[in-house]
Amino acid sequence: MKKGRKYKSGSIAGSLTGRMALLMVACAIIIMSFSYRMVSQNVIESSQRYAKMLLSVYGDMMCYETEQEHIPIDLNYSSDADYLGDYFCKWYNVDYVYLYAPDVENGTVTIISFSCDEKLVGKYNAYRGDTIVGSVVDYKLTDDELALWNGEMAFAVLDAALVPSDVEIEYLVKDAFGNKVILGGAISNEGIRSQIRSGIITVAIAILAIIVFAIAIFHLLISRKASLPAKNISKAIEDYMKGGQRSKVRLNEKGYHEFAMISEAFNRMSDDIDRYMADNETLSRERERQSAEIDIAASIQHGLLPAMEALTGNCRIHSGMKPAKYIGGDLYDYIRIDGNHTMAVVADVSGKGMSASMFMAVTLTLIRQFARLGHSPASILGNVNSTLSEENPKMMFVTAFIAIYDSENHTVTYANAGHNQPYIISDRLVRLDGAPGSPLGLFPDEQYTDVSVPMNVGDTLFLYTDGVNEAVTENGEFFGTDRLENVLTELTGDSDPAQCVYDAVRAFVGNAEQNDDITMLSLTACDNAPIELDYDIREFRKIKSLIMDSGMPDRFKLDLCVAAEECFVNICSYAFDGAVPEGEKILFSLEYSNQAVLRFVDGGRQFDPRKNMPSTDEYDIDTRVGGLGRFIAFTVADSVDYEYTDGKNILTISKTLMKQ
Amino acid sequence: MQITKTVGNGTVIIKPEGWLDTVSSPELGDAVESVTEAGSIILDFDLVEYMASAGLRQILMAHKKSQSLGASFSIINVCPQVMSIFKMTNIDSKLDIKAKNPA
Repeated sequence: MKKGRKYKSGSIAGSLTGRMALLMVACAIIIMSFSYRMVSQNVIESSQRYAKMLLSVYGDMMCYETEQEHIPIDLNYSSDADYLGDYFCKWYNVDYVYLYAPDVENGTVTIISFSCDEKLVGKYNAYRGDTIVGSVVDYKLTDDELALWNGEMAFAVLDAALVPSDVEIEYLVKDAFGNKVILGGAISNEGIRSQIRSGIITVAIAILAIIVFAIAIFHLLISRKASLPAKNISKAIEDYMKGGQRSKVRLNEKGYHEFAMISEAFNRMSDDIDRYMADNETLSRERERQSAEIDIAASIQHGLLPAMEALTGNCRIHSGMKPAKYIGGDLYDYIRIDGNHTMAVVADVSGKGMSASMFMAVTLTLIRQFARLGHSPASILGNVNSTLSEENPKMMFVTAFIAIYDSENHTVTYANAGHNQPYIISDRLVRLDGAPGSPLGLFPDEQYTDVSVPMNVGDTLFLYTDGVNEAVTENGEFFGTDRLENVLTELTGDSDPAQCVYDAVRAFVGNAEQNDDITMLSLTACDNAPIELDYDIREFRKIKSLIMDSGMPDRFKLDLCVAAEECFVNICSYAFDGAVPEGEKILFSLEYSNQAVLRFVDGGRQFDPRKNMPSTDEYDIDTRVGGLGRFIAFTVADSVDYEYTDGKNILTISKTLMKQ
Repeated sequence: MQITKTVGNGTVIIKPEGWLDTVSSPELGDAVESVTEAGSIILDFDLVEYMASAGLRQILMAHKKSQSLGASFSIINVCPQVMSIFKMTNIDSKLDIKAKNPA
């Protein structure tokens, strides 16, 4: 047993043996009380037996002697008669044996006695030479003795009368000459008690020895048959709990049926547990692998989508997508179709998980494909719909909204395939509720309609998925379109509508788990004509503020400023040898989405900055001073392109805005 | 551009502030040029957020100036963007330039 265990202390064997011992002691006490009576009885009987025995052995001799001497009793013994008396007294556990012949008329008896007690030896014996002879004592026979003497009784049991003792037993016998003699045995109470005591002690010791022996055997048996198997089982269980080579822990208790059953059950259980553990491990590995694959799929899915922010030729785009816990099927996209047209899309695939995300990827690809071919929104939807409907056994579907902003005519043309109706935010909020159509993928012949509405510089088109209006609190309350419209109405200046709406949604739902993708896209029409700059290095501050105030990630802005400054200073310095002609300007424009594109157009002399560039491996300041700025610009940018068209130098600096 | 100049114990500490671009850089050059004697010249770039090649040229000239004065020359507290310019032009290996400790 280990320390500190909270079960009952003591082993089965100990506890059972203890109880067994108690039981046996109780039995012993009962046996002892019976045996007391038996021993008492035995002592009395043995006295009687003694007397008979003595008579049968010595009777003849005694009687013979009395015949010879012609005295009633004149017992004549050899010198070791004392020894014989002593021996017989001890053998039969009496204090005295005696023989006497009464003279009833004179009231005397002639008596001879033997005793094992030193003090009592030969009390009534007289010696004649070497022989013991009886002595004559005054004694009046009791009634019982008289009856015995007269042959009316076989024996008499008397209170002590003739010799000093407590009980006397007398028999009428005849000696060899036919003379009547009374043979007696006497015993004191003390003698009886001591006999009983010694008898009891002997019995008690015997019983105790039997008990101890029995208990020892019992304990040994219980230990071997019960405690040891129990200990083995407990140890096996502990070993098993420790783990390691679990299946190596076997129980092999054969003994009693119960332990064999436990043993077998344990082995079966450990086998089962081992198997479950192994299965579980395999399963969890499988789950891990699947989850890793889903993560990869999610990152591929997000990789398909364009940058969150963009400034294209004619509009500024903010978008945001917050996927729910599981990979989903929302998508947003925007493409600058040509100088004047930018397409914006938000779509939501039915369902969630891998199938939804794959369906989303297919949809995204199809939309881009048809958009690049110059289709109108309705035509894109129609084509995508018929393609998706061709093979769609699972009847998955996509709701989608496509809008194309035309910066030349200041209109937005849209078509809707069962999607949430978006808004145009101008001086008021307008919901684009025209051109309803069925979701994509269900009805191959569905026809979609284009609707055009005006959209001026500064107006914002806001597209979203139902993850926004159906965002739900823990109490089951929906965010709803009313709250959405409130947020959109209260937007100010250059704020990012997607971010503002998302913040409002998060604030509304609190800690509730997001259960659907939240996807938004805003397209703000802007007059993104290139800015005109004088051939003056102080004009760099305009370039600086355009870059620094843009929505690009901050960590790219300083590098782009360096590249722009170096190129701009270069143009200012070398475009014209003398005075700059009247009205001559440098045109600068900035666009970005996944990539930032900075463009300078100037009318100075033809100069390709890529020529005579110092090695990009290392710039040695001691040997080269010229070209330092260009070197820095080229190093900072991903690429610098140059072309000379229509008497204009066109310098384009590109840098990829890596997603974090 | 704000430039603070501290003189003491033969050491001149020049601390420009803001953007060292083509327009502002000459002011740094002027500040260095005005030093007439020094045991060491230190440019503290703690408050410089941005630097282009114009700033780099001023630093090279300041280095020459300190050599002519027999003064030691060092630049301290350089932010990552500026440090990247020093690195790409290999100037960090030629001058004593220490980056800003990341706070």
